[in-house]
Amino acid sequence: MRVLLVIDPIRDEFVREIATAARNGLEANGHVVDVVDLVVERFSPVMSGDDRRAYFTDDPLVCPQAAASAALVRRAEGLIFVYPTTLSTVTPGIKGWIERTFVPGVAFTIGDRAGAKRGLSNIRRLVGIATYEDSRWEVLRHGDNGQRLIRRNVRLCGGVHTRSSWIAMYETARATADQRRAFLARVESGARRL
Amino acid sequence: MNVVVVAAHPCVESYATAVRDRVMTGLAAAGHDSVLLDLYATAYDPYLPLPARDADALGTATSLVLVHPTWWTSQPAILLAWLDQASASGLPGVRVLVSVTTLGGSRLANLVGGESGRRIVQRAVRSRCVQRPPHRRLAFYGLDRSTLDARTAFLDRVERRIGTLVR
Repeated sequence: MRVLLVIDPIRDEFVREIATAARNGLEANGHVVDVVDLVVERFSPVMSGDDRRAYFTDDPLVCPQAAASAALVRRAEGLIFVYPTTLSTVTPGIKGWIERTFVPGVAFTIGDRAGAKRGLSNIRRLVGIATYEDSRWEVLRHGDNGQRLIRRNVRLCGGVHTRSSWIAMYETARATADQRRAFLARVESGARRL
Repeated sequence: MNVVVVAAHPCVESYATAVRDRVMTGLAAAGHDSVLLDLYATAYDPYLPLPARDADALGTATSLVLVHPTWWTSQPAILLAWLDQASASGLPGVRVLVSVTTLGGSRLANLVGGESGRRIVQRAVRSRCVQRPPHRRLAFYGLDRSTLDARTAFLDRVERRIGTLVR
């Protein structure tokens, strides 16, 4: 299986360690892994005027960065997001990547009558790996908008064979080195079983 | 009262920009002091610290008004980045949060989608604010299939109501 890892290690090196653990687990199981590191690539999360004006045309991918990501999405069978939760949702970087990459013709197509059609039916496994500064209880109270975005809104662009799952680490600020190691081991074994 | 209006749409010809302009007109007509921070016009860069101009405006703000389209059920990424930076100060003077937004899908479609944009302000941003301000909202659902009449009526409603929502 070809798996695309989209990671936003902004202000959190631990995210990069998680991504490495996921990658090791996947490769140990024979999967091929592509990585989009939003910080390394300096992927702009900002939908530009040119992007927006092209959005509803036949060629919405006017930005080379977004076009490269879209090409990786089209080839992928697995899609994994790794990010530190920000304002109860995905980071602005991940949100911007979704806005600029999941354009019409990639994540969905806009039909004349039938409404939106699914575009991500090639994705069989959709996974989110999120860290939270809050406790599980706080996340429950504030609502997990990142998980909702990925497992509901993005998932709806997938097909009947698209399964989604979630790996969460809570209270990261108070986590000990042992707890971090245990989480990395959990991510790696989870990735191995994908 | 000092109202800070934050707008986030890349295209000046967009409906969201028309909404932004009517927000400013409505606030002026109601006698409020307001300042507009248009994230695209000022070329806000999420990778840089919050601009001093924005921080200064927020220092005396009593109301924060967000004018934006809803993409993938929430605020555009540029506005999420700005909100994350701006709310780090606790926005001590802010007594009310207002969202003025457009949504492509119907009310039902957005209910199914989960209304993340609403929750992000109502819970996550609010919980960072010192005064735990209430969240008020003017929303135009079903923009994708809307009629000119409906769009015009919403612009009028925004101009009429915005002055009564801020403090």
